[in-house]
Amino acid sequence: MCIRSIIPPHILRAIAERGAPKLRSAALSALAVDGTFRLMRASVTAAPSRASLAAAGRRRTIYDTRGTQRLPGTVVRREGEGSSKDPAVNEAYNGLGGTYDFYAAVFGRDSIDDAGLPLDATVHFGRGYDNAFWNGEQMVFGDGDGEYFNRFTIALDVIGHELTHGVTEDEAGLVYTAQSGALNESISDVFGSLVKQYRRKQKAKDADWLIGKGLFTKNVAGVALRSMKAPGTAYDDPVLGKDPQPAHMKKFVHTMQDNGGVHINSGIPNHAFYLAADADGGYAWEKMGRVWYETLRDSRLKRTTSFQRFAGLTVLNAQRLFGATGDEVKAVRDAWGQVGIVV
Amino acid sequence: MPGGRSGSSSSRPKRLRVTVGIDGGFAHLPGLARPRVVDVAALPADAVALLRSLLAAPAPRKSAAPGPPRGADRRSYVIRVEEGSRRRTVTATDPVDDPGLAALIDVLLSTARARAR
Repeated sequence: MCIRSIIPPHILRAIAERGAPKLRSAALSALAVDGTFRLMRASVTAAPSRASLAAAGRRRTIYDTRGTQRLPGTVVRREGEGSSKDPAVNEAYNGLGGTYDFYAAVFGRDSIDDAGLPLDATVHFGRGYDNAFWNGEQMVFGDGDGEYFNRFTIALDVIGHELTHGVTEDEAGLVYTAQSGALNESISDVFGSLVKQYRRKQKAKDADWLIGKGLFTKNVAGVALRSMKAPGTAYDDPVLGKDPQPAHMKKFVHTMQDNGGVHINSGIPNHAFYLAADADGGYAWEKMGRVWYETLRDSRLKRTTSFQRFAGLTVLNAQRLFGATGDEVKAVRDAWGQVGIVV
Repeated sequence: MPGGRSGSSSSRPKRLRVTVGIDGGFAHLPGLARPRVVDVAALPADAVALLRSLLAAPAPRKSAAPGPPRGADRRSYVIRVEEGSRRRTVTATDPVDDPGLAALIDVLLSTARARAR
């Protein structure tokens, strides 16, 4: 549905506030089209309709490295082919599809590059490999060691997380170290969680806000890898250690490990997003997800951005989308304030 | 990595000390990130031989560090090997292209994991 051209902004805002769900989503999309900033992009292409995106846009290929690390591996399932007997193959295929559909339906985005980039993923990477990653071209998933970790395709938000790294690379190129790296990680957690909430049709208060629930085996004292709702509480295990994520700038971790703590300090912007979505109370992808998405696409977002600058841009984008005095702006500003970032 | 245990006590290295650490990754966890001591006696013989060959090899020339690889959530590995006065540190990042090194990392991690239980 396209309602963006002739309806005045104040009507769009009213629809975004009070309209039926489909109309709200379309109105938010229309409001998000901002000639001031988006026209500064190098190329502008006509956006296809969301229905056509979802129907025709998915181009998934799943590969299998069969325990080696030689990417991409052997093709085991292409777009449109039937289910495999291998659950990891099907989880990767369905997870990529669910993530593609989320971006298409909610943001009108056509894949990682918004130009229909094929989605490639490899399963069974390495032996007992406890990780998933984005290599700049594709997603890669390990089987886990079976002792502490299950296979990494088991959680939809993990797949959404990795695919979102591609989106971030395409839109903002956030440098993968220190605060910009932690924002890169946080954005993947935010949209990974939203993919899961969208699949489950959960409002903010009904979501678990956990990242990687199901990854740990029963041998681990923990529920997930990270908690956006309560950073620092996801696990406390004799072997794996205690969840080190801070929820406030007072606890910001200065470290050389983990590219300057990108998976640690991401807890701060993660918690800010949770707080903003919780204050809004609705479907988190509709308003706060839109604010974060438009901030990611904002040409003022520098590759080495700090938390402070990112937070400021979320407020500006909330103002642009919902008006300077909207409740949404207050929710975003208050959320950042609660994690120690005054905007 | 195929091969049996490292053989009789006379051929078993007594002073070989090996640690392995993982940095970064989607599942970056403090317990995995800290260097873990590997029980050398529990390693297959070919893994021990490979570790010794790393010690014996000439130090690689220092070259201009390449920029970080594209992508996100890649893990890096740091293997430290010591025997007497000889020391060598080997680092690698996902994906590990060298199959021998990949197999060595696998066996070091699984042995370190067994030691942690």
